[in-house]
Amino acid sequence: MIYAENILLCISIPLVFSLFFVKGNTRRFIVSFLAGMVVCLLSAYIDGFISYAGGMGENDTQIFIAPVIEELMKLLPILFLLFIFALDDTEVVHVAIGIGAGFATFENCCYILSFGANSMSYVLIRGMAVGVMHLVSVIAVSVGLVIARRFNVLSVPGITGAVALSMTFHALYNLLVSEPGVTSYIGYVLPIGTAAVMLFAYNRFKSPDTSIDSDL
Amino acid sequence: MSAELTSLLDIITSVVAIVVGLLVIGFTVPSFKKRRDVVPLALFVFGITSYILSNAYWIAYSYMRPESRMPFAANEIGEIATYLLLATTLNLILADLKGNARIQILFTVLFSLGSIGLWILWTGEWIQDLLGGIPFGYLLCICARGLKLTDALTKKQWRMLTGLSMIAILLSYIGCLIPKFTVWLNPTANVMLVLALIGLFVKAMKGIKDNADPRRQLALAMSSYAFSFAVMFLGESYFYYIANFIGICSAILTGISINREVMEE
Repeated sequence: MIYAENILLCISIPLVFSLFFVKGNTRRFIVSFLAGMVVCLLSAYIDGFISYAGGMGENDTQIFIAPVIEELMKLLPILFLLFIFALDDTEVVHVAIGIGAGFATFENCCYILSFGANSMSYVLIRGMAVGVMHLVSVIAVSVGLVIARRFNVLSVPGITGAVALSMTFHALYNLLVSEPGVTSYIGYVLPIGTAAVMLFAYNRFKSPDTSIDSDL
Repeated sequence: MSAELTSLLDIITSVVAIVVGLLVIGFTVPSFKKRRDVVPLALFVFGITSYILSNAYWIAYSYMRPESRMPFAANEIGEIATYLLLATTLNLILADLKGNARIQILFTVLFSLGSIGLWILWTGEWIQDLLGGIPFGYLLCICARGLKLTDALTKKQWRMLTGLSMIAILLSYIGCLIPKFTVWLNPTANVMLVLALIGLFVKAMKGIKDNADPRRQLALAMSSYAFSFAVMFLGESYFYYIANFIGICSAILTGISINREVMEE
């Protein structure tokens, strides 16, 4: 038992104090990072409850339930900030990055405390595969929401479609890494590969004249 | 069909669907630079990406856990994403077209509800079937609206499509409720649906070949694609794979037509 709530408190207290000394985008990023950590903890509670109620094993929970719950939970604060605070496009994406980074960081802290940090390969996988996967999925959803809002297609079908895409990506990753072997190596490479493709596509196809401008 | 043949065909069609999806994305992405309004293309690419991920998930699951059934089909979430994103794409492209398609949407809703009811009767998984069926019905309604507003079908063609679809649903229900008729009712229903799908697909191909109005081409191609899913979900045995094959070809037509629609004049 790792007392995840205590870990959250321990990590978040300095961050909360730092809010008094920063402002603007930095403060917004720290708040979204904190939100990401809280969302991670809440997701774990919900995953655990559904797993217990459904009588599912840990592996099955990670493959079938966790992607849906985690992506939905990451989306909720983004939607809240998008609609309530009417953030502009760049702010939405930065907030999403903060939430994704906070989620991934807290999850990695809990896993390392549970399983130890002896193995460099395990640590690298947690950082470069899982961490990047959470960031890629949340960035893709936030960019999709920004585009949809700008062109007045921020409707229920559009939002649901975007989050369903991230759920499938997350579910595919969890499935591939669930068992050792060739499939797990494909899974570990998938987030970094996807991030590289997204970055390439963004740099290749952005231009001042296109509808998706370079603010993002 | 034997279980081994079914399994082999499932994997082959999934792999082909992924390859075709990647090709469609490959010839769509260069259009981003040629057009100011890239939003429909972006939504379409996201939709096809979901379709690819859904098939990839299914292949990975079949390989890693061949004998176990998914308690909750995560690849169905990918399919839901495909339906919603493609529907949003078509809705956006047709946004400025005026007119109503109430009759067409009414029959589409009836067809969708009838299909969902059949899935529930066959599988018993009513939550999954509802969650997947409602977005799918939405896509079908947007496609029906698109066909009407672009005058893609004549009255006679509308009557044929509606008649074949609704009678097929009715026959399937009778087959469920009176088991002794199932053995010939279900194949008859499948034949009717496949005939309707072939008619729609041929119309879509003709639209592309004759270089009809781009929005009409897109409405026809996307309707053929969406209807192929409907026929797959209601079909069995060889009819399922025929519909799957036509669906894969319709994906190519959809890619061609959306590129024509958003190209600069």
